[in-house]
Amino acid sequence: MSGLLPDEQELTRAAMAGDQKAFGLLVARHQASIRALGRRLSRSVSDGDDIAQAALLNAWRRRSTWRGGSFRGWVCMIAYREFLAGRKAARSETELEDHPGASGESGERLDLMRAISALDESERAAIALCIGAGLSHADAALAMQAPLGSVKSWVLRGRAKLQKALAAYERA
Amino acid sequence: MSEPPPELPDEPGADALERFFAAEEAAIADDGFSKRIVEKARDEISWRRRIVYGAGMAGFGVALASIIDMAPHLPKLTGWVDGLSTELRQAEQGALDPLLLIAAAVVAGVSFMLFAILSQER
Repeated sequence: MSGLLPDEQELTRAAMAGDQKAFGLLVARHQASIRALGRRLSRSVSDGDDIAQAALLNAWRRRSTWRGGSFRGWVCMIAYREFLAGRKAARSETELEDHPGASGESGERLDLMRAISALDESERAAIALCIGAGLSHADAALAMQAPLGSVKSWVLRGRAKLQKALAAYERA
Repeated sequence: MSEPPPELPDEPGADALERFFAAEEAAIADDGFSKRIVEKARDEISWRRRIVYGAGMAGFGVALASIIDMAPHLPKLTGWVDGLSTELRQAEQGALDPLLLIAAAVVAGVSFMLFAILSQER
């Protein structure tokens, strides 16, 4: 993938070659976005952090399977699979009040959080992966094991719903 | 139901969503999360090393034992290997077929190697 800073590429290469220090730096750099993705997918802080932890540890274990590209994008794809695996084991209930920063949240963010929670699961996942985690539609399709056209459509529909929520807040 | 407002503002684009997501991420502090991940990764390394080295040593042991048993069929390089082999053969009274031992050693070696590789990768 293009657009990576050289030090990010070097760090990723070193980490994937087994350098723990480089891996630690990458984790520190990307932990927030990976945890945010986990929280958006699971709609829960604790479940989201568990997903992020499992994804990062799996990335470390399976570092020999890394085939280049962004570390964050790769871990986000693993995180999505972790989410799917965890969901099969036990369906977690919506915990809106457990969502990141819920206490003292601004009205805009609360409205959007509700709007995100209200999205269809595929739409929410596509939005979280493409807009939240910055994955390309193709990478998101790969992670979701869904046709590219479906992912594009989920992103469009989900975005439209969220834009409506945002517009409603701005009108208020 | 209330009527829509007469003038709708420009619909916020993806930028607004991206800003929202960025703000949400910025609110997530690294409260020891990274440290815990790195520690767990380090623990896994030492656990895997033990397995891999253990499997390697076991494979080495099997290979060494097979070489000793195969000694009569190999060029006589050293007297002590031959002596040891003779003692082993005397102990076992030729109960095992050398070809069977070689096959078992190969199977064991390959199994240990595969196990070691899988342990390392997973």
